[in-house]
Amino acid sequence: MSFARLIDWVWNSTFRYTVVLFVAIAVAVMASLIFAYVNTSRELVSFLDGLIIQESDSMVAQAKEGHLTQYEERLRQDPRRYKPTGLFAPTGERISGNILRWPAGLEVDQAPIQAEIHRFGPGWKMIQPSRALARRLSDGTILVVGWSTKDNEQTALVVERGLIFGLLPAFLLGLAASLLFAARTQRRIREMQLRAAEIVAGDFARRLPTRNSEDPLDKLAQIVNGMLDEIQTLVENLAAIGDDIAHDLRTPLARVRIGLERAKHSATTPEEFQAATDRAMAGVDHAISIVTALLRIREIEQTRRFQAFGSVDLAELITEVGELYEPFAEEKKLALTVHTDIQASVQGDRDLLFEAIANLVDNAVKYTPEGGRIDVALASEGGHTVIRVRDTGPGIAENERELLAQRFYRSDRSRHTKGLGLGLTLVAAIVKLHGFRFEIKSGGGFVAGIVVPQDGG
Amino acid sequence: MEVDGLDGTTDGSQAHAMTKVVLIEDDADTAQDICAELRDSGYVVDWAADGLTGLEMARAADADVLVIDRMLPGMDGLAVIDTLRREKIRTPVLVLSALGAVNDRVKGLRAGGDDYLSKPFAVLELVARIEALLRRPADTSAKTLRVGPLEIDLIERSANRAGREIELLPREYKLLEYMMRHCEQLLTRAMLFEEVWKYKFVPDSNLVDVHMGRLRRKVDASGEAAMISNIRGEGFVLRAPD
Repeated sequence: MSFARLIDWVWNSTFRYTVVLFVAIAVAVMASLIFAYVNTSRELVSFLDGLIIQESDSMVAQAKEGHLTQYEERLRQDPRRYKPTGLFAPTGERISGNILRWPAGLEVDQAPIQAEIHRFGPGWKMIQPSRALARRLSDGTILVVGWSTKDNEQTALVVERGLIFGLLPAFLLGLAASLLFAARTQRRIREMQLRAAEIVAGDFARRLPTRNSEDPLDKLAQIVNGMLDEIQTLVENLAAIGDDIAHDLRTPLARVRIGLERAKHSATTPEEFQAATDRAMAGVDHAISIVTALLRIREIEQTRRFQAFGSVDLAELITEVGELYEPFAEEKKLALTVHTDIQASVQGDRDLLFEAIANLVDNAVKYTPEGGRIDVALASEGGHTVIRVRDTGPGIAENERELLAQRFYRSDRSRHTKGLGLGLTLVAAIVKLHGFRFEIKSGGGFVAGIVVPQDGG
Repeated sequence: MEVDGLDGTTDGSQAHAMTKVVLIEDDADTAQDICAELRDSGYVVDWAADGLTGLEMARAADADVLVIDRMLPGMDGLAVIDTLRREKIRTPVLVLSALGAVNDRVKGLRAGGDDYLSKPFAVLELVARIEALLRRPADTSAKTLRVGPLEIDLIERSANRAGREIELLPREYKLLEYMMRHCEQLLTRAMLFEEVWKYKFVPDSNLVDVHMGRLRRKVDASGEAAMISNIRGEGFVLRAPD
């Protein structure tokens, strides 16, 4: 879906959504108002009916006794003009009361009905919708008693007004809000579109705008940004691997090429060619081992901490490394000794820690001249547990050490340090993964230490 | 010989006349080289360039060993292995991969592969590993192993050569036992390091050579015919003296 279409879609859907929502609310409000109205008016009607039946009953009773006190009372006490009351001849002519003529549809001695009653008073006339009841009195005249349903109409009016003055503004407000919302969404999507275009164009540092709110669009932007972070890290890692590999492979490959070129021009015997291929293969093997080591370092750097962590007995570990390298050291007439002054266990990946220490010992064996010494020790220094590999080799120059230290401590990535082999970089990566500290010193020879901070065990 | 190599294997080109390898590898050049090398070593080789074809070939059941690349078009190498294992086809599998990381190795073996080799590899390494797969399960109930005059007691973990007691350190014993279980086979440094030392990394110094040197001095005392030989640049072989 293109961005333009996305905008259309959001616009339309936002709008549609609002309209549908509004209609739903309007219908619900109307329904409840109408329901309230119908219910109320029904209640009112039955209440009024009860009232006029009761009144007419007692008037009929009074008429039997020969007087119409209550009838007269009712006529007199009607200041709010609620109570139409009248006496009619059996033929339907008005005898007395405030009802002008016989209400249409009204029948004698039936249940109350809704009727339009023509009322009058001194100086006024009106048609009054009322509940009305006609009763035959003992003398044959007919009593009409009514009760205005004006209250009922008032309720209807409230409902009507409610609909007009409540819903209409609500609708306009809703419409405005939805337009505003849609416009805002559209603007934000435009912003995102622009940013996304920049990112696509190669500016990986860019991120979609977010407001740290909980709205879905913002959540989405945050998720996309998280993905971008992840992708950026991956891309940078890949680029770094590429750089490292390119950098480290150039030399051995150049050597292989020169060797082969020379053989092509100057080798004459099969033996000479054989020697040249052997050298070329050794060179290629070296190149491969560099790639393998770099990939291994990258793998360690990307290993999730604690994935394969368990309790590792350090004394046992360095003793085993010692056993592995002792024959190798002896071959070079080096004295390899392992000191385990203390017992210590750490949480770690045993295989990786073994690899790290083996690498340090491997380096020591390689760089220490014949007759030298290599000490591997597990000791406690200033409250920290330290594994130290010390040799009597040439050690390391002060400035080089500084450089190493900077790379290992400051950089997030333990970058390959040229000239010192990949071994130390690998060790640094493993040590870092464990949250330990890697130290390099010069003390007569090369001194490497893996420091387990007090809380690291 | 009591244990391995009962077929009297002495020379590769005759020994595998009937041994069939199915190679599932999508890179035609690599496949061609591997096929040529395996045929030179006396194997019959069938090649499939994608997972599905390879799966069909592997199911055809006359294969003795499968060499499967991890990344394949159509069907991933690990999926092929998984399918075969579900179908109870137990042909040994050597997994090849350009991914050399330890985790990939673990994944490959967990999926049912019997061995794992990461690219680039020496063709010799490949042949040596195929050989080892073909010779797999040794008689595990045996109490002793014997190769020519050399004998080890698997219970006492002791060794002697024609009655001469050989004093071995535990690590040397393990190395010797492995070599005797795989006698007459070329064992590469990487194989020894993985199988004997069980380490997940291969050190770049010639550690294996040094350990092998020590073992050799103990096994082949002066005046005795050499049983452990170093095939230059390739690995080591233990064989009975002629």
